[in-house]
Amino acid sequence: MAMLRHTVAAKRIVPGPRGAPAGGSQDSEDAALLAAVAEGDEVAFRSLVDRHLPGVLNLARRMLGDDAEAEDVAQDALLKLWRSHDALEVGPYGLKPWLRRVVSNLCIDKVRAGRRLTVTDDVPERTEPADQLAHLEAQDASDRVDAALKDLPHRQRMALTLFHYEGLSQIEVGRIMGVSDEAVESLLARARRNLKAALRDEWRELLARDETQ
Amino acid sequence: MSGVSCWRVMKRNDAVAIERIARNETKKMTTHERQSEEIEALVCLLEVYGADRTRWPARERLRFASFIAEEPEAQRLVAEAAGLDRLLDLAPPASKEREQVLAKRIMAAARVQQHAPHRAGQASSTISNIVKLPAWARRPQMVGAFGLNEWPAAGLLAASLVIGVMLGSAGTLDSTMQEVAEVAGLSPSDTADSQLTLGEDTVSWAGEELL
Repeated sequence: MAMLRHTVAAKRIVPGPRGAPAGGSQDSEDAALLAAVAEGDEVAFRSLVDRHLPGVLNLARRMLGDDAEAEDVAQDALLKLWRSHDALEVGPYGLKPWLRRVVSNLCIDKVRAGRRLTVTDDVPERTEPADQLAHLEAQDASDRVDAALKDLPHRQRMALTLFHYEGLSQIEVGRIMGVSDEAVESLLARARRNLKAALRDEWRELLARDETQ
Repeated sequence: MSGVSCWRVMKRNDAVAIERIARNETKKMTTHERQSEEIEALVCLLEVYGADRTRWPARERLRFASFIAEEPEAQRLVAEAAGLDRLLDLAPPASKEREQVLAKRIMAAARVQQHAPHRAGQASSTISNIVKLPAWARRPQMVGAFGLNEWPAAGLLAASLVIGVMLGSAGTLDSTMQEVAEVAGLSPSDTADSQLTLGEDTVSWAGEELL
């Protein structure tokens, strides 16, 4: 299947949740703040924390599916930035790619250290998420999506997070996770299939709403 | 298609197509067969990449452009996949409150690192760990109950405790203790004897308590 070996364009980077501009001024602002941090400017470091913490924390939360562990990873990543400021070069997209790589590696290390990466590629798919849905009925759709994501096997969640939420290409995801392109495709497909099953009710409701509009 | 790896299905379809070409059987493939193969391939594509066609490989984007435009079944599949993508985008971000608490924690840890002797990565990571609360203590209800927003102070307290233990174990306070003993009129041997005596007393006390 030739499709498997094609590079997929990375998702266009959209402005962050706080309206931080993507590319362009982002990199120059990051570079200026980093230069100030190198002078020991604590306020500049706080600005970098404010600017990047939401993205770093969300990436770690989605990759690990655990808020407390994600906070540890976010802290370690930003403290690494604090320690390595003099050795860093800000690229065209600012510090985001560097931080993303650090966070991804820390998450993968954390999962491996906890021997949680024991999932094989042939894990059977869950076909009856009825109990899970019943348990989640009281929560709103957003929480249910969050719970369904947390419930995914680690590698599927990591692949989906990097591809869907971080906008990385299949090759980049494979490189970060240390797996082949084919394995990434397989993980993404199984992640979506599992989510479709877990969120069946919400998904159908959404589609029904679209049809009526 | 559930239970079967998508790329395996695609590979199989490619292999079948190549075989047909080799046998010069391409004309025998019915429109219906071709359509169902295309649908199968589209399902795989949507499962892997989602409905956003800018994320698809360029070749597949071209291959399916007219098929999606003409086939209602293909349009339905793309709309369903788009629905799932939209659901995924509903996943909530971390709460601002927790984010702020974490930002304070990071700043406190950075300050400790700045003032601590910089000994490779190990020292820094130790300090980083000192300023972390265990996971259970960071649950929102615990943060509210114990006022753990004042975490920097607790972090510094813990750091000073560790430094105290390190100084003690390094033996830097031994000479000071010796001087104090001499001022009190106790020679080193006296100190040892008194320690021994104290030890015996303690043993006899313990024995009495047991009786």
